Amino acid sequence: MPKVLVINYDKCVGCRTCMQACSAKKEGGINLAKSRRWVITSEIERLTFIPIGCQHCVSAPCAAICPVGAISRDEALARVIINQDACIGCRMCMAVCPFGCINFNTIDRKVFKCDLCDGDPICVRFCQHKALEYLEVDEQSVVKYTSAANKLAHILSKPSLIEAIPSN
Amino acid sequence: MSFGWAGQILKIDLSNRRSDTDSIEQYARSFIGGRGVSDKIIFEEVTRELSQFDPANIICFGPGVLTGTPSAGSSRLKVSAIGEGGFLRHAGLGGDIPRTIKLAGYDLITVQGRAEEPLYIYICNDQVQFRKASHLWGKDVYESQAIIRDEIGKSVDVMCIGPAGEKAVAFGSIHTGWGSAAGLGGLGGVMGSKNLKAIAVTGTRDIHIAKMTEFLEAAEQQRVSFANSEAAIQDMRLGQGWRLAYKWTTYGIGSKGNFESVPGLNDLVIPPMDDFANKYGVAPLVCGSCPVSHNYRYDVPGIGKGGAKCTGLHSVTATLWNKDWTLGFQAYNLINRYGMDVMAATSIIALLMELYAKGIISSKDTDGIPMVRGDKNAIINIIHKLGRQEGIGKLFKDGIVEGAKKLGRDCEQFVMAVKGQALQPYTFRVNKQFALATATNTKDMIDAVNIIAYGWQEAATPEIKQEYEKLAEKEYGVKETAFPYSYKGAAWPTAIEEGKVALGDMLGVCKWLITWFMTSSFEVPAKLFSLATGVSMTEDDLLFAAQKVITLERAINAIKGMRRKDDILPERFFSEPEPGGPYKGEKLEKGDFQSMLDAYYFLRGYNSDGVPTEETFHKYGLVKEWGKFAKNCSSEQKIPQKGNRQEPPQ
Repeated sequence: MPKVLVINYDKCVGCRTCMQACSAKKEGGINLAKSRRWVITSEIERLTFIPIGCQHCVSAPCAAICPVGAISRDEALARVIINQDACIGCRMCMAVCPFGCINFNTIDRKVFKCDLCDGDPICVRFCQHKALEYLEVDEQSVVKYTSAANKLAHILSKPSLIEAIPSN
Repeated sequence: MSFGWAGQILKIDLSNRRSDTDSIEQYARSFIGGRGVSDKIIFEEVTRELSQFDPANIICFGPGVLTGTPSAGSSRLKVSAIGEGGFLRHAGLGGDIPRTIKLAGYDLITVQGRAEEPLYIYICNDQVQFRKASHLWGKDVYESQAIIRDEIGKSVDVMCIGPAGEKAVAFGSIHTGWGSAAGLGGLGGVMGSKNLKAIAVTGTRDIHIAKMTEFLEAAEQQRVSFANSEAAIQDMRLGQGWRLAYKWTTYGIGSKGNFESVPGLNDLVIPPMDDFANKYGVAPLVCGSCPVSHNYRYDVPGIGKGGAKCTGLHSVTATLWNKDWTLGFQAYNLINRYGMDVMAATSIIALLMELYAKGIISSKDTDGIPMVRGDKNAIINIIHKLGRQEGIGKLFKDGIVEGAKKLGRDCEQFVMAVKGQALQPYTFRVNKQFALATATNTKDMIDAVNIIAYGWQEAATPEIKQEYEKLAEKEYGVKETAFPYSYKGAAWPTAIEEGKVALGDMLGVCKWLITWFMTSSFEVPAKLFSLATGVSMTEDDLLFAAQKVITLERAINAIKGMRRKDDILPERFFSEPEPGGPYKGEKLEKGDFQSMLDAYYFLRGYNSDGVPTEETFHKYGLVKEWGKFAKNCSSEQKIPQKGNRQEPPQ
């Protein structure tokens, strides 16, 4: 089963190493403006860092809107990819993406976005805070549901609760 | 195309509102980058008379060669200028702005002159704008950044001063983000004296790497090796406050009050910070590219938001006889907002508290505020006075030494400072290496810590202590370098470690990761440097360049008049023993201290008065620099042609 990019939002500390590594690998030079993922700082309520990037939607609006079929889904890697040769630079995909994660190369005049580095995302390799992971989709929630179950087990095992719960 | 280096130095002339660029190439091979290039530039400008607030004083903001790359912890810059006390001062700054300066295309920014009215500078790649800052004048460091970000509109990083720096307070600091500050040395005061409120930067250019694929592989391997050092990660996270200050007091590392010897109050132990942190902690604060995080942001209702970490936490508790974390955070936050150095401000308060306790001053001297130890009223009000430069605050505008002189009544003898700069709150009576480093380092002991002796002192069990002793023998061949209380084996690690920190500052890598917690080896950074720049240099080549830079710093300070007599700690450490704790009774001995200094000078290639010799200049290839140096020291300062090399003490 192909893997998916999982973002643990509570772990991102805003170091932006992912953006440096992404642009380095994909563009040949380190430049945050050319990264395919952005870490946005939010101070609504709490200081939070949100890594935003292509979600590789199953029914991708960008693929649907493209007038020349340059955007398609690659099921082998469960990703949405852009055929750079076919792209005409109309930017309609940028307009319809609900997450704003398609970027425009002002020199080539074509769009670009995350392509999961052909199955070995470099952003994941450089994230020491474990905010970005590349997992089988059914692994995404294992840690969380295990932790939730353990908490529940801990609460349920308290003697006062055992007495209160009817045993018939 | 420039590889590794961005390629340019941005030179700003505030008097004429001009900017120019210069190539980094003329400096890169000899001085590498960051602090090294700043020192060379300052050396060329320095004169005996050049002072902290002179418009001719050049302030340098130097990211390193690796800054901006994804190598671990590569988002540091060093700010350098003639600062507090009239000597060359350095302070580190992190957050995102060092990386952004490289992405804008610059390896260094220098600022000289003085603006006619308050300004801030906005740099967007090759565009440099001088913008009015009168509406920012008087605003605290967090507000100022928020207003500038709103004004500029797009993604921008800001470093700024607070009201104290604006008033050219000698210990004014520079801040970026919520938690990073160039604190020591009064570099914020330098900016304020130039009417420069802030520098804002946007950078959307490429940093080029000579061997990109190999560089990324090596950088990833370095990160994996750091990620595997779980114990080191936990230790580094202690800077976030969890149990750190408590540990220091328990193991006899931190000091109390004004480094005092006070019967009955010697058992001051700071309670663990966990409850406070659990309640009010918000999120870790990092510098760019950091794999760990050492800082934390808090949000306390009624006080506000802000970062607080590490030594500063000790300064707002044990130094002020305070055990209340909420008060400690309030003090830390307020000092930051005014844009002052936490150690400098708390040292002044600690001094006033001791003078009051001893009846040397009364509340009349402190605007009616009784300086009772640990008292909230005293702490918070003095911070306001210092930040606003009112009343007693004005007396200390030029630093703790000048303030004490103005108080008169021999208050000066109670000042705990070296060369006009406040001390880190450590046990200088106990740790001889700290004592030597504080007396001699351009910044202070934090830039020359031998982690082996520090680790030995913190070690909870004899087994862990033995590990450090084995490490000392392996690294230095001398077991005594593991013993912080030993004069023997103290000089060499001090000389070596300060070179390593200087190298870190030339590469732009964080010293907590490399020299402190994760590794003390620069083998990987040297490899990363070579892959990034295409210039092949080994760890030894780069360490040699770092030792050259340290020599140049000493030369700058020698031109400013620094001599052996200045390389000394306050009398208290020699005459009053450690009051309690595991090292009760320990103090510095004058003869032993001077012998340790002799050994350090010998290793450094200085003469007996602490001045680098011509031979030492030549050893490092500083031939042209010797020419200027010899001319700039007047005959009364007597620079000998050959060094007075002594046999190293046994």
